[in-house]
Amino acid sequence: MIRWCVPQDRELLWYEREGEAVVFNSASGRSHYLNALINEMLRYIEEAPRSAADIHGHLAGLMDGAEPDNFADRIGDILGSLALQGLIDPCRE
Amino acid sequence: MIADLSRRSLLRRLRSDGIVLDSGAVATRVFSRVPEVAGAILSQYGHYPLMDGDTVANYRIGLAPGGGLRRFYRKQVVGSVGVPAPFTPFPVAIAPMMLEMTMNWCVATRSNRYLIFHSAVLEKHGKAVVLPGDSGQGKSTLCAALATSGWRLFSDEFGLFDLQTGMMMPNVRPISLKNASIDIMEERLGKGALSQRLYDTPKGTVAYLPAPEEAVARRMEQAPPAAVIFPFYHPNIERAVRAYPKARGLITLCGGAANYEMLGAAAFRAMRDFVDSHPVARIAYNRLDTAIEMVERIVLEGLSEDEVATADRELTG
Repeated sequence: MIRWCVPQDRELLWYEREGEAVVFNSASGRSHYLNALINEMLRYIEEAPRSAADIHGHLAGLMDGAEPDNFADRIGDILGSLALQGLIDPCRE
Repeated sequence: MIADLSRRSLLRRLRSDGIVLDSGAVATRVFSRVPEVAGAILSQYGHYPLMDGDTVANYRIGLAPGGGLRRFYRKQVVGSVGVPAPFTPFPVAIAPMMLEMTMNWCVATRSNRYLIFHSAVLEKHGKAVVLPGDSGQGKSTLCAALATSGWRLFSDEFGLFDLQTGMMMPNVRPISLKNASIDIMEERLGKGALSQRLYDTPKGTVAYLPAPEEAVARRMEQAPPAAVIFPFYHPNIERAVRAYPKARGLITLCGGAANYEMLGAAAFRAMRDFVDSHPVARIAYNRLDTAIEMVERIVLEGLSEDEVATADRELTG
């Protein structure tokens, strides 16, 4: 199972307010707006390498059972998008 | 003053040593042998100081006649900045716009001492307000209304945030008004307040409001930023104010900053502190006087609890 991480050579600078965030990627020089869901995902991955299942479990816990339809697919899409933007990579552990 | 020169003397200087237009943050030495450029300078910059010939300018720009047959037939003018730049020739009748665009290009691509917001900036009570906005949102019209209602013009187009001092720096230039906003401001200020209209430009009809004399005289006086306000003219909304969620305000400002990615982490930190320290608001209005009241109140008093609590709601009347 793939685990995702923020690469160690990549400094992320954060601005968080009201659950939303803007993150600056030092490797690309670009900034990205993160809504509350994506913000939570990236913060969780930044703490430690996580699999999609880890993330799903973490978010489901926060939602207290109010999980949207096709949530696992949506998490997979977001992980792909974060990887495309260079914010996360598959972990090489 | 530049207007002390006759048109002929001005054209002679433009052909030889050039003439320096000092807008505060930026001094631009302009060269040209196109009479319409001299006319534009007299019309828009006549009240600017006549700088010494040995003044050190930040940029040198040229406005040359079009080549080939265009020297004689349907004359053109084209800007140059000493390096390849994306200028296509314009009809000479809209030479004033070529002058402004060439100067804008220099500011947007080279003034990297500053973080360059795509915004109007004005000051009152020692506090600067930043008014970002895409084309068509009413930014320049509101800027012109404020600049002629007791606010000091810093810029209609580029907000220059000094990364070292944390202050906004003036770059005082004419305000570019387009299409419907020309009639609105002529009705407000009277005939003769604006330049001649330039028709069939890439932005439609354009006219310039010369920078007020006080703004020119005080063009070196910086001011601390006090608020960021995204203006939105809407014919059906009389008055609406909402806080703009700060993360969204930040990413919008980042997206509009000309040199944000080039300045990198320093720009992010500056922008983050900037947004975090000041009210960030959206306003909608259908009368300029209402907008002026709202801007003044936000700058002086900040946002109300209700305006912050309703940040996520649509702007409605």
